[in-house]
Amino acid sequence: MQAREDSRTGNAAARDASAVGPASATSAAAALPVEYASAADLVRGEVGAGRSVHLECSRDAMRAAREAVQELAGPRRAAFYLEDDGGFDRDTVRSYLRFFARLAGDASAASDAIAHFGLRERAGVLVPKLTPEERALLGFARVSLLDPELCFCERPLLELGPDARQTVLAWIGAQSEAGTLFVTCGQPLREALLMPGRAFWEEDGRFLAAEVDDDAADDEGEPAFEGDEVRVCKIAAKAGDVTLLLDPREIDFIESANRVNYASVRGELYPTALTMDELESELERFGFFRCHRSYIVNVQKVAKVERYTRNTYNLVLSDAHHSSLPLSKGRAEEMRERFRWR
Amino acid sequence: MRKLGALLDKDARDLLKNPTMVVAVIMPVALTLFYRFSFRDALAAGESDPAMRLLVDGIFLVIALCMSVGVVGATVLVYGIAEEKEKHTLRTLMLANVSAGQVALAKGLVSLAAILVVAVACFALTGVSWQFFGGFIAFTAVGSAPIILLGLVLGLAARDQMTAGLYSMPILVISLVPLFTTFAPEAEFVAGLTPLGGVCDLLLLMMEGNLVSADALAPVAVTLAWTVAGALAFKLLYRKLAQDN
Repeated sequence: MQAREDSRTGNAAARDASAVGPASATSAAAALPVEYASAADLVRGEVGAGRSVHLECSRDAMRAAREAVQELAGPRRAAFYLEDDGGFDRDTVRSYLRFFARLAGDASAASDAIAHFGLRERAGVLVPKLTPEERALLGFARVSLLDPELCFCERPLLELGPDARQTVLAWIGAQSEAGTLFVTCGQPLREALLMPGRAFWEEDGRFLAAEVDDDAADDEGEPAFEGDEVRVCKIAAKAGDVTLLLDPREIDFIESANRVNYASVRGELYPTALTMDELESELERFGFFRCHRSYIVNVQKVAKVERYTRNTYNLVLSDAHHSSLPLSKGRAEEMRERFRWR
Repeated sequence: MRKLGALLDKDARDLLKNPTMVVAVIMPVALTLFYRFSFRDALAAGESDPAMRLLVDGIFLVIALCMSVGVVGATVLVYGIAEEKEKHTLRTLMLANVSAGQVALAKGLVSLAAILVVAVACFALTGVSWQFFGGFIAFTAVGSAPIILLGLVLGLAARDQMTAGLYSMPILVISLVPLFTTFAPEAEFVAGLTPLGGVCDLLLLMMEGNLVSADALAPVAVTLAWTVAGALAFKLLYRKLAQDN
């Protein structure tokens, strides 16, 4: 699968007139378009080249992306998970999924989907009585029954708690490995980065590739943490007109999104004027780790490391929202070594 | 066929579980009973007067036909489709590789089945001789065609169940017009031009033994015209309306 995708990549980039400029980094990445003029161009370019793509975007762009997926689907089996999918009011989880299983041609698959998405206990419950999280899982169970080759998801992780998020990400990972192409839309960019494939973010109607530089070598020249030195460190962040001085121990992670860096404290994001490199160098001695080009995580807050595909790692935090952060493949090994994880 | 089977099964089950639909199914039956009670004097007179009996039987069957087709057709289709649009389940279906045509066919067939079941119940309650049953059911089925086609179009045009209430009214009203000729014979000409006017006239001609006559030409033409008009409206609009969902 990987080899097939790689072989498609160069041709697709060359023929994609709407893609702007080559990436300037490594030779492998150089062939990939880093900017698109619209969501529709992005979907056509990336999905057309056989790559899954994930967008942090507005509602208008989400609709445009969906329409582009519908156009691209053609004879392929396509499935759509839309955030306002209602479900039939008088159906139970079981009857709803049985109906879609019959449509897909295998009525018996419904019980497997119910079990896979953890809905067995709720199989007899009417759809309107489900919680938003259960309804989201029902939506993914429905989508799974269609065994899609191309799958479009709107805000796939929006209503999901940590366990449900793990279930859905694991399913997306497994399907992706099996060859399904995913197009997901939503916010924040962090969620797009958790998915297998490329992530893009929207700025003034254009779509820019999220930086996913796995090259950890740029850290090698930096001075090593001395261990027991005592230095006062406060991270300045804004909350309206007030400048907050955040204690590093309070910070769950640092996120770079839309060219602004944010410190996440107890589920709230506070913008900070410091660059990611400055933040990394300041916070490293407090047990922070640059897990991704756009993320610095407080390792003390990491509850678990999840791996859904060969190239997809996620860090699940024990913060207020049980946030999931991407862990670049190249940095996973470094993290393991630095913190002596076996 | 697999998808159509699944859709038919879902729509039929949903009809039985939906309170609005159940009321729509019960109402014609209840009103037939009510009319039978109201016409008890005429019925008694008909015991000794065959002409009167034929007249009353004709009125009963026209009521049964119009109620079955009008109330069930308008409600089951327009509300059913509008609810699916409101809850986005129609979109979910169409994004699950089900075509608008398959959805429409399933809903149309389930509505037709519901209309015929209600018509059978109504016929049984009228007390009319069973010799007219075959013709009554046949004309009910034929008369259902334009109403079902128009109901599908209006159901797809309705944004939600609230607008479905508004959009189903014209179907209900034009379906029930032949029924009012009992009380206002001067409205017979207008009633004859409505979607069910033709089949009601044919039904009465059948009861009089004059079905195969020149008198049947105009009702046949009216019924055909409405069926063709309904089919054209459906053909022209359903795909666009379904995509707007």
